Amino acid sequence: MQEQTTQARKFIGIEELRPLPEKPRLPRRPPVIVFDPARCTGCSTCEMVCSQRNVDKVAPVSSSVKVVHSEEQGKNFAILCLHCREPLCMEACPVRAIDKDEAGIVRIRRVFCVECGICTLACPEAAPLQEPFTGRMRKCDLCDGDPLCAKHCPEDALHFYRGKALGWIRLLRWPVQLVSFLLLVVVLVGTFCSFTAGIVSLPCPTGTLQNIASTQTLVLVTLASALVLIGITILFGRVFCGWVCPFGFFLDLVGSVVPKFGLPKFLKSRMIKYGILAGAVGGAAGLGFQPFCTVCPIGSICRSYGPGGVIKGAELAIVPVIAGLELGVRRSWCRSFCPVGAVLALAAKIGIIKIVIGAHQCKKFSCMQCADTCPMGIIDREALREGIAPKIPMDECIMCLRCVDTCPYQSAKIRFRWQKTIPGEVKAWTYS
Amino acid sequence: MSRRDDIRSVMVASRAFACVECGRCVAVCPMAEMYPNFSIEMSPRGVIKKVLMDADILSDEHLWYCTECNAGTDVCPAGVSDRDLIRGLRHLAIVSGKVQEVRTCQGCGEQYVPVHVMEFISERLKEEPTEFLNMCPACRRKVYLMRNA
Amino acid sequence: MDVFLKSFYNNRVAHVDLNTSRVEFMPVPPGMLSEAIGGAGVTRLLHEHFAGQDPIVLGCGPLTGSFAPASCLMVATFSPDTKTLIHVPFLVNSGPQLKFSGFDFLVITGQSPEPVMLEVMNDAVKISGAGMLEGEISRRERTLMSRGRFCPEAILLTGEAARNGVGSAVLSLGQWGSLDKEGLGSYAEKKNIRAITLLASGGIAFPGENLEQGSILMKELRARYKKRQYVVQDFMAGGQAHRKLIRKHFRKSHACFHCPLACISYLEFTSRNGGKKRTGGVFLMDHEGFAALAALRPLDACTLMHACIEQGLDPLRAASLIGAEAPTEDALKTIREGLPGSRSTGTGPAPGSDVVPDEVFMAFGTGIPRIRPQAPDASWQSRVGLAMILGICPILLLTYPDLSPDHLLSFISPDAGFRDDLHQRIRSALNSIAP
Repeated sequence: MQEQTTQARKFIGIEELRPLPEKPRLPRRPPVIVFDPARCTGCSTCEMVCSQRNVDKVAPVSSSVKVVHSEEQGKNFAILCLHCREPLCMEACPVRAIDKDEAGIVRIRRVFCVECGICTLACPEAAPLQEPFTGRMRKCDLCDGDPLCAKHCPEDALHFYRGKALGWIRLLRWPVQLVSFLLLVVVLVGTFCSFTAGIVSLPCPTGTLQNIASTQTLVLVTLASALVLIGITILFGRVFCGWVCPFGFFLDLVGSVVPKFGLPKFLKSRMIKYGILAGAVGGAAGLGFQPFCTVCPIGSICRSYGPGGVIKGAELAIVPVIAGLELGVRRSWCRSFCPVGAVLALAAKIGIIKIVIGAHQCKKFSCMQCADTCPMGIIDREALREGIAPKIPMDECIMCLRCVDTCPYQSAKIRFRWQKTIPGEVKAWTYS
Repeated sequence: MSRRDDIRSVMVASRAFACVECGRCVAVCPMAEMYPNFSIEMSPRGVIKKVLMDADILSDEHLWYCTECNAGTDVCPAGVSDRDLIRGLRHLAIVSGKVQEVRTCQGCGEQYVPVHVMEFISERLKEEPTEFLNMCPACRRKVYLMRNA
Repeated sequence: MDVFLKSFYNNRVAHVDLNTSRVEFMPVPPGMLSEAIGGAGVTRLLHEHFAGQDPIVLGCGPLTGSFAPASCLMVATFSPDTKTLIHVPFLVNSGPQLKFSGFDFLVITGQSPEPVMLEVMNDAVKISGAGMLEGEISRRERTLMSRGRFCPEAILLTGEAARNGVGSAVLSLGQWGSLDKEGLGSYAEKKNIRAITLLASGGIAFPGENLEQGSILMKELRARYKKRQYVVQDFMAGGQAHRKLIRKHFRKSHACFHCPLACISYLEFTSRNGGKKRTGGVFLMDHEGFAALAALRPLDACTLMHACIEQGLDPLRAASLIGAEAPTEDALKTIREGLPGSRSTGTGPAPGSDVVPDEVFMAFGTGIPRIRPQAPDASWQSRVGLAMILGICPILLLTYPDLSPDHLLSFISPDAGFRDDLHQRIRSALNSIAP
């Protein structure tokens, strides 16, 4: 008997009847209702017009939007479906009644829905609403592209928007990276380590530190010129890593083609690079020469191309090894190992700008494109899932501005460190 | 009022006495898709039968699989509301202290979902983190409000 | 007429008899709706209907919950001394929540032997014990709110002040405060009611064609006033002391159900109580009370207002008893431990009593601000009375003087002749509720 039932389920299970659709191509401009809590007065007009559409009555319980009030802090918030990129409700629905259409609208197909409320329980915001007594499910379908709530909101706190990424920063960054790669590797031979043009000399800061340690002498001119790169980093963040570094460009190219398998745990720590830096400087003091510079991938890629078009294979020996790390995560060298980056990270830590993600128009868990696109992996997915604005560690940020570029809602921004931009951090909250 | 009378009043409210044992509720029950060990005891018809036969339903583990959906209620030809029956029985079970099979909300302490349903959801979302699952929907909305408004 | 008006109602009255703990349901007695349209008019008739049983009648108007602007009103009618009849307005979302819970009118009679809580939801009224309700109002509110799926949306609560036997304790709408100045809280405490919770579970099919009309009117009204936090207080008869306080502490405007004015300001303030700094917030729904406190004690008005709301005490009454000189600690102590004396009446002529005579003012629970009539033909009492009958916020009608009754009645019927008939009936009902 038991066997028979399992057999039967094999033939007519939900997986066979309505398999989870292939991940559809994301619409270029995902539709969404942007909510501004600063404007909302909590008048519930949205609930009213929504229920008028849903059940032809004024019945706030039957609406697909819910205005939540906080009496303790005098705040209002409209809970509505954000039409996730990868909807959790769709995955969790036991009868596969939820799907996402080509326009990017997540819908409940009423013929299949049994109103079990599992979508509500699977949603971080609990946006699919269940009527408390009748158990009917109500979920926003954006009124098929012309939401009534946005139209009738007297305060314009809700407005309908089709997301649009900036898109032009990448068109700027790739050429800049290519030009600096060509400049440093091909045109100005052997030069990242000490860029010399006439009397101006800009040495690599890590090289300089090793140099000082190995020779035990402090040349003020060298130090001062090494500080130029540090100064730029303090002002603009680690723009060198994201926009100039020839090896970084190489890694970006490699990283965009190879598959990713994840790094083993012991290689994940971002502190390793500081260890390598300390080791290199200490080693230089003991050995009397600059040990890291001989294997430095940035240096070797710069030195590899000799005058007259000769490529020095020996110099490039280290490069494939490090490029192999790209099989782990993107820019794994820069994340964990690069001592040049470590020096710049220390400078960026006290830098004057910051990247801010999670302004009120940020769609948090439903989008997370910034976290997907970040090559350094520093955007906290957990925080986004819980609805908190993630804190970006500026020492790890390479200022590639991919997040600013891809955010469809323009909620990733560059700000000065002292500017206040996002709602204050709330760690945990319970009924007291 | 004794426990039996309580159960009786739940049965009257949900019209459980009218059950004709047609099995339509079992045919549409989403639990068949959710649990590999779906059985007749777990199904709404099984629960109704047990209640009618005066078995000790409140301490029965099979009461705690249902999602309280509308599928059975909507198709029932006799107008039995499985949803109200199970909701009422669960309420009685919680009141009488048989709560080990229910998840408690970290925010408000409400017993908001049976453990089996939550296990199903966590399994479906296994690649995703599950912190927010520890809160009832009402608290989740409040937390979302506090963090974003 | 009766049949037509019923389409704006559920046509159900719940009669809660606390003596016997029984709840009866009945339709609205025939003729009542056509005679008095709704709101305060019908609650007055129901009060007569249940005369002799000390009823509190909660009710809503035909437009409560509809597409008309600020359709948020619930009115509570009671008689503190068997002679006068007082109509107390309740705003925020109380009206729609009552109406959509399945009842238009709720009559509470008798007296309960022990403290009870009335839970109105899903076409039923449940009388349950109020043992778990303790402490300040915010605390009780949180207790009631933390009930997961069935947490109520509107909560009427009495505070500690009612327990202390103060005559002017209010029945307050949680932390929003109350417009009740005539001691409905004390009256409810006599009946041993600690809380009434409302949760909508259904809806009413209002004429759908009014949706657009309402939306246009809302946006028009919305655009009228830019600095909405001052509107009501500036129109009010009386001093200007509150203005500085509001400018300093203002955080956010809040609105009642479907209201374009959003006159409820949320003030955030820091108080030093015994050297301990704490930040708090207070909703200014009770404009009269705050203006009185601000005029008297501009330095700690926010703190005292907060304490009054937490204790369920009428701020007007508190202002009249605390005095301008007492230090903050003493004033707070006076509020916490209860005030001697009874109702707030008889504290001398209030500012603006030349605009609105006291006896008229008191008939409407006295919490509605005494706004000078902007139009010469419309008196304060006719505006407020109209609002209380139709189920519209009276503050809205007072601040938008050109919002004519015809505007509002067009949400009931598009037919001009029918509207005239309605208007006649409203006028006669007005005469009966406003002396």
